[in-house]
Amino acid sequence: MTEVLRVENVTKRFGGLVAVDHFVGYARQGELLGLIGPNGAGKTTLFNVITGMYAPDEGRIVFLGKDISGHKPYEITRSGIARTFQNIRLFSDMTVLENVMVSQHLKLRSWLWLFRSIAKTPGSIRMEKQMHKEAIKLLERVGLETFASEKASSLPYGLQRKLEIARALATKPKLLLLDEPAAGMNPQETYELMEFIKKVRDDFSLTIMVIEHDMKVIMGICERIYVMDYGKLIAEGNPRQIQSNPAVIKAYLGEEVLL
Amino acid sequence: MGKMLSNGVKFLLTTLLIIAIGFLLFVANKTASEYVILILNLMAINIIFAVSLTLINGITGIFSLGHAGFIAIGAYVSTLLTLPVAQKEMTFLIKPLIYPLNQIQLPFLPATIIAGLIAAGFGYVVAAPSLRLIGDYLAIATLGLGETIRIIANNAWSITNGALGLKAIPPYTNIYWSWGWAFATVFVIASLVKSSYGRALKAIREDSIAAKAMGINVFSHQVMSFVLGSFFAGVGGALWAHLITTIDPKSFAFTKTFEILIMVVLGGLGSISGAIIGASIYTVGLEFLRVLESPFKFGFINFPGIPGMRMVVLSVLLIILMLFWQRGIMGRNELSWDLLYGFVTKRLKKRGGKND
Repeated sequence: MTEVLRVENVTKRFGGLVAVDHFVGYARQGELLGLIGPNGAGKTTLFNVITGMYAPDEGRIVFLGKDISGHKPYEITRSGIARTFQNIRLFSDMTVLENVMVSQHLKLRSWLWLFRSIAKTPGSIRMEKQMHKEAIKLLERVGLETFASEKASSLPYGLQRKLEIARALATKPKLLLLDEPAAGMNPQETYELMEFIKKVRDDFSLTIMVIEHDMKVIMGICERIYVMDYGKLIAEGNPRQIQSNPAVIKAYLGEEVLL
Repeated sequence: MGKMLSNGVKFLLTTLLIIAIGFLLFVANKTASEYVILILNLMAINIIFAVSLTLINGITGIFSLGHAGFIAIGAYVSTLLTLPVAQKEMTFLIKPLIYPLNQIQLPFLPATIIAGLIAAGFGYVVAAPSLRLIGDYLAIATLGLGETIRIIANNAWSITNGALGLKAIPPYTNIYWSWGWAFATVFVIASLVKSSYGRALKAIREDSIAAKAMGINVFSHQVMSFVLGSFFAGVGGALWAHLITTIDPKSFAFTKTFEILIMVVLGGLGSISGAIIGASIYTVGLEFLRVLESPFKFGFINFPGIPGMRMVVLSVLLIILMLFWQRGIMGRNELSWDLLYGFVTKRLKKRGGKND
């Protein structure tokens, strides 16, 4: 399998705090990866570095053979990495359909489209129709089509999470980063989400990386797991290996004290 | 949402509406008094100001308070281009006007467009550094910037004639120029907002971090919005100068910005139709309130005419409006044929139900 993402010795510091400390990892085409660790381990910071929200202080990030470290977030999204956020960040005053259509804006790369849109040229009307059609199709694929004209903020919590994933999918990514998708969900919603993530990976032939605290989700869907603690990578392996890894148990439960 | 009208019907209705407004304006231009025509002109210019500020403040969410500055640039640039050469010599008494401005005289249309372009250029120069700030800081920076432009106008004697201002500007602005430009402004900004770019701008307003993550170049879109808004502010300034025929730096103090902000907030921050409604109500309402400034009888009580009374009443009305209608008349909704159609059909159904 081909390698999609390679993170080489990435370090990110905030003043004296080393949030990500020489992290090394990779993702292969079609993999479903987990990224776990105690609170403050640097998982979200690593996502932020990969998506360009922060530039790495050291090391580099290679995506599809190209060095993308230090690129702007919108450039990275255009090159094929999409993400969701830990605290939902939908465009809450816009409709579900508009939320998805915003992600298609990256098709209009040239500023000529601005003049075409204002003048309503046939080309721009065609483009608009095509965006609309594709957005509806995407909503149908994820089962949100009935809510298309509802405001995003009026959706129930679980569906807002789903819409965030749909919105990320609309950028046509090759790699999808999910930051705690199951946070705040009840067991039923969590179960549905797990099925949904697997389905999305297969339907859209994606590589997915998930940060999650719910071990049921991680152990249930991930094929390979990275464990971080204090910014450092402390373990890597499949769910069974991780569950029995002493370093991981130490990070989560503390050291066993023999009396 | 109710039933939708087809695009063809909507296009037809819009065309009819524009023709109807055009016809009314034509009749007004022929028959109405000079006073009414002045108000109609002011209304159109205020619509231009309010809609251009809506693009920046309401749609993109850049809280700019520098609009008066761009209006000033538009007014001064266009005036310096249209003022007859002889008039320039007579006006600039303290310091003569610099070359080549003292030699040129252009027709109104090119002068207006150049005024808009130069305002847009200033918008670009200003936007690049100040958009690094967000929220209140950006508001303060743009406020300071608008004041800076006014103070430069106050002191650059050889270009703006300083505090004396410019007089005897040819009164080129008529109903056709002002409403023509108002239609153009609304058309351009409404088409932009309805397009993919409009969605991107709204996404930036809602959550700029998420917008970045969805592949939108947030900074360049903000700059685009600011520049386009400044262009129309400059055009509006040009029309305004050629309507009132005298300008001086005092007319572009920050109260001008707040006046426009009132129109925009009154109509609903983030709605173009709201901005149009707000500008119209503000312009006409202020004239109706003029009766308060002349002596009048209310029942048995005699009121003496107090100058400035209408501003007091207007402020109270605005406070009441804000208490009961926090998001303005339209909120963030747009007046559309679908909305109107839904409203009418609902009414008819109700009436039909009652008759049964």
